Amino acid sequence: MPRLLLVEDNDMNRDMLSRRLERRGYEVIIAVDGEAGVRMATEQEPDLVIMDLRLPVLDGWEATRQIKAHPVTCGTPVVALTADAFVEDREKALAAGCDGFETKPVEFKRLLATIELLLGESAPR
Amino acid sequence: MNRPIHPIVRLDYLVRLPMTTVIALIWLSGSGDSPVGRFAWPCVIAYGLIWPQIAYFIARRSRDTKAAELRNLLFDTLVAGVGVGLIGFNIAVGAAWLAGMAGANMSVGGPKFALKGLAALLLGFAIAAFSTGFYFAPAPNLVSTITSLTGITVFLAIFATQSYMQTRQVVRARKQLEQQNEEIQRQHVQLAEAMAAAENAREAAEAANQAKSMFLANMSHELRTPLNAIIGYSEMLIEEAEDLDQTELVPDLQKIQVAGKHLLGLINDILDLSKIEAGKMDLVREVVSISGLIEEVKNTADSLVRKNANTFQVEVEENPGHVLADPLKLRQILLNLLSNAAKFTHEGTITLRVRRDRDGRQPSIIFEVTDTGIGMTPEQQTKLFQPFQQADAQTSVKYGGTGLGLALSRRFCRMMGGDISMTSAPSVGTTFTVQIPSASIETIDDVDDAEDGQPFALVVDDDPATREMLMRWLTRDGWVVLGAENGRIALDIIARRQPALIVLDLVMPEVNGYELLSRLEADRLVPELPVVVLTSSDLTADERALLEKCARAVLLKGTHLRDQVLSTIESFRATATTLPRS
Repeated sequence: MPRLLLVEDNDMNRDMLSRRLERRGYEVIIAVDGEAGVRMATEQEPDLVIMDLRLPVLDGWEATRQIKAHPVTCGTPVVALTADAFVEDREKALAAGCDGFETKPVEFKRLLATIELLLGESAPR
Repeated sequence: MNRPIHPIVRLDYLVRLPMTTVIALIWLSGSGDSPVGRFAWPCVIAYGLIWPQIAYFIARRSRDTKAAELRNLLFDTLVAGVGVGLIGFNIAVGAAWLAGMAGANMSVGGPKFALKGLAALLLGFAIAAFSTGFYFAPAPNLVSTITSLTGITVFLAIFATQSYMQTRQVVRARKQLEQQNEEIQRQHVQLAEAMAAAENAREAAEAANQAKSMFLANMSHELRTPLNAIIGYSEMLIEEAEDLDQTELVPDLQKIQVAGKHLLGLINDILDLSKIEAGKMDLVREVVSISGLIEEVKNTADSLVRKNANTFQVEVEENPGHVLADPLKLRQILLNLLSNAAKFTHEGTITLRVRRDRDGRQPSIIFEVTDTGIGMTPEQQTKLFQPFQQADAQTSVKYGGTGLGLALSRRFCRMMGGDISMTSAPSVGTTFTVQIPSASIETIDDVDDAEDGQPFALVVDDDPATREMLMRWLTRDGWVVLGAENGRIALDIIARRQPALIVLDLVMPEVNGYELLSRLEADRLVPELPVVVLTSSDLTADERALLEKCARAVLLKGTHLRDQVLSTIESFRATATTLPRS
């Protein structure tokens, strides 16, 4: 069962997304700020990270950079999930090292497709 | 001959005319004993009557009227000297003429000329003295003295008046000049103030624009966050309700979801419009397959169009070819027109027709959306493409919508080099016509010619988002960029116009990256043509071998892709020039 780390500070979105992902058979662990996100990524080694970008303590771009720079997690795919929907935002996220970029409101099917693609396998049902 | 005559020519003419009388009187009163007296009379008359005309004529005919007139004056002075000598150097007459001629010469020609005049006068004295055998009768004679003094007074008065008037003119001109200077100074100060004000206004406008952009970005972010919850929870509840067999809840939940998505569309439209108005909307230019696009639009719009019990017909001309457009925006325009048509039509027919237009100014593809709905009056039609305008106030109450869709559609069409128009009749229906330049040989060439000197790059990737991103990077790096969504379109483009760079994805439908490379190799276009391959997957040994042979660089999608791409192409940018047409 693939384990996803969801880094998100908005509790409603965190609750909604984690429940929907769990319904699809993923195990979801949660961090509420960028610093906790980096810590949990390195300690618990999830298969994929879903990263909000505007985060307290440590923002999502910097958290992604740290995850990608860490020897344990440098190969872990990171999908940015943000309410910043401009072209520049996508470029900024990819420049920070994100492997995918999804905007809020999330198109759930597309998010699932991205996750499946990055995990390199079809999602468990 | 309309050459301007120097004012002293006229002045001297006026002075010379009365001099006949003066000279004759002087002669009469003073030449009684002169040895040449009798014979000089014809000369006196001739000088007094004819010379002024001749002098005027000479001066007027000359190239330099002032110089000629000065020469005339020297002659006058010489004659005056001769005259004074001929009447025996009468002291009063001699002094008067000496002073008069010196004053006249000085006032007209300046000190240097006055000296020349003095020399001419003395020469005249000498000529007279020699020709009369030094006849000398210096005693003042009352009549000649009075005549001389009167004549010279008049003579000098005329010159003095002239000189006075000139001085007055100079003074007036100087005053005017000073006033103008002051005016210029004042205007200069005003201009500097205006420029400073304009600069301040520009800075303020820029700051306001920055603030507006920032506000829009933040507003977008803040609205999207709760919308994420609204749409996400409603979708989740729909799934759960279906799972728990509580399907009676689904329609209401769908209403929440649809309303949320409507709100999202509204936010996107407003952002698009403000970006266009700030000049920040960059469209990408891609060769888009029409059949692919229409298939996609048809699938997306089908349920929407059939909603009011309408029939949906799609008629596409055989082999419609390609258009040069931003595929996402073109799709948005067509979906917008179809959803409008569906909104205003009940139990009617909505038709999407696609045909080539070969007769127009440029080869184009015409997309027509026709409905049999409520239609519009001419007044309603005039407001149609304005932002936030709907046919009338009742429309928004009855049918919803923001009135942004058509305004955006028209702007997008024009940015893609096309346009949108409509015809309508109340209760008959409406037809919207979208014209977009087709991607023919000519238009691809036009694209290149329009931006002379910039090298031409081709981006081949089936994922629209990645393709768009790559195209933006390259455009900003100074390339003319075309996009292609698969290898087949790419080969079409390469056959018409050989790019100086190809950025190539490997996994694509139709003709994939490997096949494209093999074809390029078979046509001997590689290794001369730089190909940068982007891949996200691990490669087999065979694939690696092909890539090593045919591609200049293989880059892994992911971290720092932008820097990788730009530094890689920079390394062979020096050799990348616009290649001659194949």
